Amino acid sequence: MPLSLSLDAARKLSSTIEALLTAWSLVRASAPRLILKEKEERDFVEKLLLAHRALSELLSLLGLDKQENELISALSELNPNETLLLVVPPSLMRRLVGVGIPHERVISIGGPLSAEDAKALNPHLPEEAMKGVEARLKNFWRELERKIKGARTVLFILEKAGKVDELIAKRASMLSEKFGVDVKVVYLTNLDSCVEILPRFFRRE
Amino acid sequence: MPLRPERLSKYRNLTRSTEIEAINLNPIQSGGRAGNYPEVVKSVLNFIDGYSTCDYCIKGRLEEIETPPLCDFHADLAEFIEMDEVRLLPGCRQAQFAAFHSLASPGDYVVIDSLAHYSTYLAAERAGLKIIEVPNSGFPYFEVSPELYAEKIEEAKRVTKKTPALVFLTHVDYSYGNLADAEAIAKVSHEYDVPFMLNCAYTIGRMPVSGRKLKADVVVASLHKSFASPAPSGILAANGEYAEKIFRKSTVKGEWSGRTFPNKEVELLGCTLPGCVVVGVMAAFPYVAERVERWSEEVEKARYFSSQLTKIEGVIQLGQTPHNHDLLHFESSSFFEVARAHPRKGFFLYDELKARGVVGVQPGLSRSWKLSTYGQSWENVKKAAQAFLEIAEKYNIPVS
Repeated sequence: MPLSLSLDAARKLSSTIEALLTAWSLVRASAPRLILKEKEERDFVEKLLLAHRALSELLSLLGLDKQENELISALSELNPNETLLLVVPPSLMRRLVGVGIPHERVISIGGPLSAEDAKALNPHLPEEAMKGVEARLKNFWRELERKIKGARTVLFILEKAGKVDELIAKRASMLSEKFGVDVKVVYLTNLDSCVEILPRFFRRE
Repeated sequence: MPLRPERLSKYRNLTRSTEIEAINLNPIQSGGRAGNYPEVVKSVLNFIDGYSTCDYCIKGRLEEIETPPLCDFHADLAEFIEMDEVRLLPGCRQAQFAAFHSLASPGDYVVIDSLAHYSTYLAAERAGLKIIEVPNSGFPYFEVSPELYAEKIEEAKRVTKKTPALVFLTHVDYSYGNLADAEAIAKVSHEYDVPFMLNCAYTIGRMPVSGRKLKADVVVASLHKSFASPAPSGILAANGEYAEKIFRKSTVKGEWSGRTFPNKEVELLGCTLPGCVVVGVMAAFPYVAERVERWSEEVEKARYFSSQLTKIEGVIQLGQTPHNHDLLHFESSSFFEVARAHPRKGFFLYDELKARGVVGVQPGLSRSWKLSTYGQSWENVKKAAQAFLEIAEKYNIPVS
């Protein structure tokens, strides 16, 4: 579904950009030492905060702050030592590990959670490709069995409106049935926000 | 013909980080640095669309648009430089050509200083004018004297049996940064009843300039060089009868359609500088009006810089000494000697400066180079000067 912006939202975006450009000009004028003195420092801080406020308001207008809050809220009830993250793209897992999340606390599914779902997504999937899907699923379950030991909660971080993500969410209960863990699902419009938030959660360990 | 996307990819993500990463002493860039002024950046962004200034163009002339306040701006700019009429053009060279083209006829003579920018020569050539150069005093000061202007006006009279069409002076020249005695040369020009035209490309926007005080009949300037403005932008200003001639209205009539354009100014070809450029110039104005009042400090910085570099054996500063402008030209036999033996030849100086966070000296030059300290903080001026001293020491050039 296309994103519809109000005029007010567009204005908030303009305010954010203008405030940041002013801050950028102040930084430029101080180059290359990049030390801001008195008035410049005050102006710089004021513009950054203004940009922050305008951006927060924009996120709120677009409802994007709720998604971030949803993740923060979900994490607030969890213990990092007893939480296992499940993400879909392997690239996201690499990014999360890259920003300091323990390798043992995150798994990438890489695609649908069952061969049936893979077939439902692409009925014309060739035989060879199906073998690849089965091999991936075998690896996934093996890795899950290893990493889920000691975990009380499995947190699915899924992309909103992603077709694969929707199918995965439908099968999330399989994990609680099989391993007796709690399962939580959080949807994000932009997966980048979890790369910002999750390292802070795991630093609480 | 459609182009393949790979071929177009190099035009994406165009960026420039020079002004954040280094102290930039490039003399053609120092006075036109616009990004340090937030209102300029914001206004340029807001008016980024081509004809964005034309939402309320009722009268069909740029300088008569009231929203954004271009009408007021033209009046305020004229007052700021104390001239009767001001128009904005896409550069000083276009302004020079427009004035030459209006005030002289092909074959006429124009007397110009021998330190004039190359574009002055080209503008005269394009207008079909002949030039007579006023010699300068040569090494090491390269100054132009008012007396020689009188001689050259006489010379033009002997050749053509009439006075030259124009006397032209470069207020501060681009080679040595010499501040010419415009008022004295204007006096000579007026004694012969010849209009006096002043090129303020390196002065308007940097230092206080009054056309009235300097007795200029026509003033041209480069805004992207000295007015903290985006390019291309320039000024053409004139007084009294010269303004009437230069800014004359169109009288053309389509012989078939009968169409006429009596509101358009011929030399300007109608609208000159719409969109983000003119708005950037306007937004720069409050900063410029304020910064010209600090001109004496800019001269002080240049003099300090010169005093530091001339401590290096073999380095001399060309042009007026003590210097009266931020554009400095140095000659160095010692750096040149280093370059001759260096594997990077003349590029060694650029490399060494860059390694110390200083750019703007033309790559490859070591025997003589130009730079400008304009707009730099004292810390930056000192750091840049120190960079030259360190390089001298590194290559065993004595520093006094």
